[in-house]
Amino acid sequence: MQRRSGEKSSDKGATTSGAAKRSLLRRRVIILFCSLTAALTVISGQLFSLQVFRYSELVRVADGQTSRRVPSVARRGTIYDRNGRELAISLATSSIFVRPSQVENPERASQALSAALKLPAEKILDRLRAGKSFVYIKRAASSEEAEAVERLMLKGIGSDVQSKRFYPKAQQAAHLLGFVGADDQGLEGLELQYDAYLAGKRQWVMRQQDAKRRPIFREEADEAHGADLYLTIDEVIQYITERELEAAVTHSGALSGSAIVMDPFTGEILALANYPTFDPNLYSEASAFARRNRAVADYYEPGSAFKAIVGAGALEERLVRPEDRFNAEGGAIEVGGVTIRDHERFETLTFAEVMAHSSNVGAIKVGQRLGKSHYYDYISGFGFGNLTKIDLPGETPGLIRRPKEWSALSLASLSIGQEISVSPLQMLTAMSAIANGGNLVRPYVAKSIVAEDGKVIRENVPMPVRRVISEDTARTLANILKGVVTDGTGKAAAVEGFETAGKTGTSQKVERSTGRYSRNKVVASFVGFVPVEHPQLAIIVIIDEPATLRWGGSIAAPTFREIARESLKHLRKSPVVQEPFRLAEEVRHAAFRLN
Amino acid sequence: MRSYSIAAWTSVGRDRASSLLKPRVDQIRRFDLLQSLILGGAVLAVVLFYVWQHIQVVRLGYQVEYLAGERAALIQQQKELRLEVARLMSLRRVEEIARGQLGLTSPKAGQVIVLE
Repeated sequence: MQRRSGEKSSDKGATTSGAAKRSLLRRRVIILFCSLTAALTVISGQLFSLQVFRYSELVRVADGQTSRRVPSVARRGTIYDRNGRELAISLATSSIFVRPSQVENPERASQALSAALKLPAEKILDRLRAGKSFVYIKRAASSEEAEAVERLMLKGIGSDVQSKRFYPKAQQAAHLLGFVGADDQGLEGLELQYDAYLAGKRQWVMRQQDAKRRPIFREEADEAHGADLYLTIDEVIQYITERELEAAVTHSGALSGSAIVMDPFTGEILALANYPTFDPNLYSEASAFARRNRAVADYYEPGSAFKAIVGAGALEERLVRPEDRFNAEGGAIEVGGVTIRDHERFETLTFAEVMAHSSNVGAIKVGQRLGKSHYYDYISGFGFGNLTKIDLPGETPGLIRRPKEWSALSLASLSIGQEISVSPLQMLTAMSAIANGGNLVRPYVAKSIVAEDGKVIRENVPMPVRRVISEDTARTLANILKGVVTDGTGKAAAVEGFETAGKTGTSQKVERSTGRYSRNKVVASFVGFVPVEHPQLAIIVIIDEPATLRWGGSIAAPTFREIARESLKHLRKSPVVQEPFRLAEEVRHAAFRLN
Repeated sequence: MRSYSIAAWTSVGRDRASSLLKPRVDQIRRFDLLQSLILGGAVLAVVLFYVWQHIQVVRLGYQVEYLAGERAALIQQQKELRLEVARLMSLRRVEEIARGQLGLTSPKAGQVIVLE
């Protein structure tokens, strides 16, 4: 019984101990559970905070570490001549930039950049300490140099891909092409005129990168390259024109010169040159005078070349005929109290001879027959005083006064090309109207604009402005102007094997200091077309202030001849007189007879 | 009847050795295990596939970037060569070589016959 009770008590003790253990275990489990719950709550709370409250901020931080906005290279369109030869090309180049305020250790950064870019460290340090918020350390860097800089992973330093313009033919067609600035925007010439088409649209794309900044993925960017520009310019004719103009200016010791070659029927400019010229690759080194497109932007007094305009008006109004005779007054005439002289003494001249020998007295008499009002109508009709609307910037409309502002001398002065200022382009456009049968046409330089996918965005087509004179008048005047070259002042312009027509001009320049015509400074010119029957080329040559060979017929006319001869050869136009052919034919016939 | 029915499908509270349903229960257990293994394997496969796919995408990304860079470099090289060709074909340079080095001259009148 005792044993039983002892057993019982022992059982009770065991039961108590087991209950205590279970209680302890339960407590521990509860503590553990509570701890875990608390930990999970804290973690969940933190997760909630990260995922909900700080979501945007953290996404931005993560994107900043793994993604990067990089520019896609927007290539500027290429400029071609009419035969598809490149005149201006763009290449992608890298620029290394620095944001000095973000650079933590300028000395260390300059040393690292110096090693990567092979530039003096002192120079880089100077730029970092220049106090600017953004500076370019190196432009037109190679892709290897850009990668080396990226690998440095320096804060505030990076690279940017840009398009750089190159003009492979250097000075060739410099005034036409113009140039672009450091940021690839057109500043002059066609680069400025067609900047909206040529410039590519720059886009930014997101790039995923790894810890070493190596790209992993890149968004597909619609690469918006600029459109290509096809010109009416013929590279060979352009070269010939520049070469001959340079020779003429150098040979005569002139201040400058301009020459334009144009298709008289369509208005397409085949060549446009000025001398002195410049290299658009190094435009900042050239003077403003060398960069000026004087053929379009400057005006001059045309002198005797303008007699073609008074002649056209008088012929059209049937006030003169080629064979009409004029008293040349022995080479001098007094108008409005001023005596105007011829370059030599003439007694009687026909109208054709007045033109051929460039008689001032004869031309004044023709002008007097035409009258103020009619003459002004023809001057305006031929486009003087208005823009030709060529697709080049900076064109001048010239200077011409209205008839009510004319003095007693004005009609006579205008008949010999004084008291009026015209641009070389206006003069050539007027001569083209005589060459093509009486239609004034708008000159243009850009033939078409072609997108990267080959689609033609814009096309310039010949645009007649108005009929100025009848076809008969134009033909008669062309024959009279042919006489200038065969018998008159423009003999040096004759192109062997082709009938040539044109008009010389030698005009005195006005001295700025005195406001009077200078005795020494002249502008020598020749404007004409070739061949007379089916004109292919209308050409003007202007030589400003030649020191020697001061007449239009002695310096501008031979330059015209050289440009015309070489250009016709290039255009494969056969001369009318074909001695070799004739000889070959005779040899063939002789051989046939012998057989 | 109900408890028998439950016991038939489960082994709770029953002596396996004496169970008449022993083979069937073992089959069910094997099936459960197999099912769990298949399910686990499938989940693992999906996870592995996801990881593999991610790695492949990254690897292909590197490859695409490398090839894109190579393509861009070749296009750039082509443009540089075109620029060089255009420079070399400059008529001023050609004429200098023709006249200076090769002693060529411009043909005179009558020396050129245009074949039309």
